[in-house]
Amino acid sequence: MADEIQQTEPENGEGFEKKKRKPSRSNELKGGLNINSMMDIMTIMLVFLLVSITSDPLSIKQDDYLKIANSTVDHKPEDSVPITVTKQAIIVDHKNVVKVDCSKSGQICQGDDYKDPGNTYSIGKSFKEDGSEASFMIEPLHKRLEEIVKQQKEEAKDLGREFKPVATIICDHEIPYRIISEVVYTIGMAGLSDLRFAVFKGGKR
Amino acid sequence: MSRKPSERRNAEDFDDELDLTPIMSILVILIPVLLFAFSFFEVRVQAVSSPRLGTGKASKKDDEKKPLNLTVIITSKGFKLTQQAELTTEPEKPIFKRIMTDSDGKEVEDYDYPTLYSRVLAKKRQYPDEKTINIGAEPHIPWKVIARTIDAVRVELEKESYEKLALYEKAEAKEKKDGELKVPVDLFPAVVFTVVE
Repeated sequence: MADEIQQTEPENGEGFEKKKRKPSRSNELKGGLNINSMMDIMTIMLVFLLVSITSDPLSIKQDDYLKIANSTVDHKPEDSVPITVTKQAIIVDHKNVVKVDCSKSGQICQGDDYKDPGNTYSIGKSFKEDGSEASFMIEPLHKRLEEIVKQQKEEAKDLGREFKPVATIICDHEIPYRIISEVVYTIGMAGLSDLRFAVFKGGKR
Repeated sequence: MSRKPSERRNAEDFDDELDLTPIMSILVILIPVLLFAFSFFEVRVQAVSSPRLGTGKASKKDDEKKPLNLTVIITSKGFKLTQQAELTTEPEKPIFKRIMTDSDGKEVEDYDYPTLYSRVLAKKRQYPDEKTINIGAEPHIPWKVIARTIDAVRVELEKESYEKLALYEKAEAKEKKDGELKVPVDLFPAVVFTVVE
């Protein structure tokens, strides 16, 4: 249509040359896609995900070695020292502190064995106080937690806040009561008296 | 350095739109990474206490009123309930596992949580001021069973008892008004872990 306008001569035939009109932008064909709206969606998603992840004090990621039990309890998590007990290890501050032994029919668990229910989980006696099987104190966990408690007490003192001795245990649903008792006892001995267990809200009662 | 006015006039039109492609590339990588790290489940916490060591001195108040000391012990066969020996005339009957139909319509042999709830509720009716319950288990009992047991003794439900497991599993907590808020009616909210020898 723009070309037609350029070629039209005035009717009186005086023959002046009309200046070529620059083609409007809308008429130009662009090769690439318009990604502005896509950018908007992506930016909103990014902000939403960043806010969700940073506001979650526990940020639990489930896998074959860590599946959380369900519960109908409705208390929200708060800032605390998270202690994760998976089928493979006890983890504090993203570091494996103690190895968890797994056996299936007397054999050490391997690969897909961890997916099966009914395995036996235990903490090796070498990790316990005096190397005694009967002891409830897990030495490496106790040492690590004492360091964290000391550090958090100093931080709280510097900031002029009160130190809250809260620990949250993120525990796989197959972990036996014996390991839970040992972890609870060790946490208590390290000076964290307020204990919480992480659960997923919902499901059956 | 600023350009001469003549240069500005004679210059060809610039495409003033930003090239968003590199930013898009970053976002396309960042979003799957964050989605992978994102948890789609609501995490909640269940408060428990570890038993205090040492006997301590008995106060006068303790002499006047003995605590109920209600304890649920989870064994591979079912639940055992115990309480302060001086407050009962006969021992509590154990609650054995039984075959029940769950809310998915499956026949399962499971712990009898509905009966445990009814028995614990009856204790609460007898001792309304008591808030503490001890929970112990055999060493091999998994955490998922203990978590469900805590659920059964923590809050009061809409009904006094549930015959079927399917109905119990879907039961909602009984609520009371606390100012403008509605809060669940507590049964034994203070859970203390004990060790079964």
